[in-house]
Amino acid sequence: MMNEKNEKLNKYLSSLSPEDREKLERLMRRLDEHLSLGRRESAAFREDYDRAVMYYLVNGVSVDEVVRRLDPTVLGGFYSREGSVWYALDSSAKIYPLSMSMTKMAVFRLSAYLKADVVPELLQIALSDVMPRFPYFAVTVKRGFFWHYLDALVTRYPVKEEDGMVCEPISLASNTPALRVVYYRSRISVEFFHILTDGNGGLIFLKTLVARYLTLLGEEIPAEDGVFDLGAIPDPEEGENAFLRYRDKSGGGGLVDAPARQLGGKLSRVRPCRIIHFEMDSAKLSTLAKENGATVTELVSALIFIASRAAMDGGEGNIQVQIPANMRKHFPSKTMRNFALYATLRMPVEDDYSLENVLRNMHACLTSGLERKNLMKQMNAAASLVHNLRFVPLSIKIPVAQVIYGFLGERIFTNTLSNLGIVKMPESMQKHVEKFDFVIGSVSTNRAACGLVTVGDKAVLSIAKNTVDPSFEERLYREFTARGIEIKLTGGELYGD
Amino acid sequence: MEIENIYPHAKTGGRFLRVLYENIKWLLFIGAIAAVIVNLAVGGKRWSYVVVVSCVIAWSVLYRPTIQASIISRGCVLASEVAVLLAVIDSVLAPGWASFVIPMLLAATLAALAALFFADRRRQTRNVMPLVISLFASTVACAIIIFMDGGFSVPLLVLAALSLSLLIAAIAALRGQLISEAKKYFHTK
Repeated sequence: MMNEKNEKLNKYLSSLSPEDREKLERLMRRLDEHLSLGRRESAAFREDYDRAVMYYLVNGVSVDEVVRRLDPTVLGGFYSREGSVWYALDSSAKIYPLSMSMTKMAVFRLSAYLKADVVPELLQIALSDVMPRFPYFAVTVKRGFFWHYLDALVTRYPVKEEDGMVCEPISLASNTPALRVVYYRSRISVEFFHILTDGNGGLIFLKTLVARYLTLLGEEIPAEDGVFDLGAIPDPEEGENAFLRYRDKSGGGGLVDAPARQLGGKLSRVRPCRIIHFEMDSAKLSTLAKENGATVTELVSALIFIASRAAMDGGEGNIQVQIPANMRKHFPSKTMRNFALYATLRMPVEDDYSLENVLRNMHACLTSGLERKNLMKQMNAAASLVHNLRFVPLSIKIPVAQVIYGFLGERIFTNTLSNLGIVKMPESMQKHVEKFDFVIGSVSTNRAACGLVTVGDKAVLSIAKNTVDPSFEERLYREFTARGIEIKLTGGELYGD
Repeated sequence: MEIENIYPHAKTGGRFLRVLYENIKWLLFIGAIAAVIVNLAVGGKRWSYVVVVSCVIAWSVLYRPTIQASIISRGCVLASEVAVLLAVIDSVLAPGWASFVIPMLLAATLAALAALFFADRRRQTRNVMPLVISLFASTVACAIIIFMDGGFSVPLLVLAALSLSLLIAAIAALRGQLISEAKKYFHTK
């Protein structure tokens, strides 16, 4: 196969003029100057460039244009230096490696759906070009004596065709990245171990990756609206633990809560056992929210409450939905690391689940939960917990955290709704993008987790299911459609057992 | 609800293996408890200690999250676990040989891991802390046994000499890098 490709490339190269061949050889020599990786990795890097060159030549791109698009200057010194930076985990990321197991890991996925099938040769180059701009993502997770940490990982970050489960655990065995980039047909997906970043940081990475990919296809995409300039030096603030900057001594609280009722249905062994996307018209959704005097988050969370109530038996207790809050809106920071806390929406199971009543409740909970002083309390609690545990060895923290997280971490929620809002991007990029989706991966107790993201006229609500029981999504579908919201249903097959 | 499939079929592994993997931990737990109960009921030598330690090692091998599971760190952890198991077997079942066997096992393991480190120094420098700590712990443990406890055997001396010399070699080879690795490893931020 390899030889066949080389033969093809050689055939194309031999059809070029000596000047053009020399230009391409110079390009490869310049690439070599930017690489100081192991032998195998450097060879793989060169092969990536060979493939991209071949793709361009086959598609009639001129050699001068090939050399311009593949200019290795964008790599800077990233792949030719020993990585020396390292990052302590941010305050909210510290729990993830403590509570993970071989089969459960907090992974989330952001996907961009383009209007044409992905060209893997160019996506690989795009990823290699983008990683140097995100040094805090170009890391591997390591185990220290007191805490885990992120250590620079100078390697070739591979792009693969999707063939596994959505949000399946990422292997962190030895010098392996904590993110994964996959493609399938017209979809580019990035899966992040939550230790690296939150949805907002992930979104900027995905937008920058897609922008670079489109640039390699010949589009001119300006570095604006959350698309990073690959030539810019990363601002140190992007890698900061913003929790430490904003914490104060006003006291903490809000991390512990009573256990919530869970949706019915047996937990599946494969998690998530199914991904379902509700693709909706964003304008209609927004209009419906306004008609009900609510925001889109309030409306969708209210419908999730109604569907959750329908998907469980009666009895006592609260339905509690976690709404992650982007702290950057309240506490300005350029950090690309985790900087999100959450508001808890709760309603007793035996309460009145009419939309009006639920919305009233949602509004009150969200208003108070997202108040600066309440977020500050949570931030202080997280920071002081981390501070108090700093001298406890990991070998003690891990088993304790596993027990506490198993009993409290997710049990205090029934469901999650993370709304990334309206994704802005340059116009020249938007015309190539059909939609985004946001999947929140494996949790050990909750039967469902929901992510919402809007691009242009499409709002996509993604449900990661951890039970075969379809009552939640069926009821949610009914609640939307009964209110005039048409839904296009997409998703994956069911892997329940 | 008709859902249009937009994902490729994923391999999820065999159901039997998945169920087995999820339940082995309970088998290990029950096995350890049962061994203690039977041992207490039947009396005699405390062989259940061996079962309990074996179950803990099996749990550690099967379920420990694989963060930074380089050959060096896995080798260090496994060697120390096996050393504990051998010490327990020696003390409760067949005494008298562990003071020879354990130092030999540890010396061989540390030598092999150090050889791997020096042969692939460029890549392994950032995985070196578990090895350095093992070498340091081994040196200190040998010193305590030899000078304070009065224990003395040729394998123990070999282990002490080997650990100390490898530790010095690692420090001399890495110098500043070792300090920066230590800063990361012991950080409390």
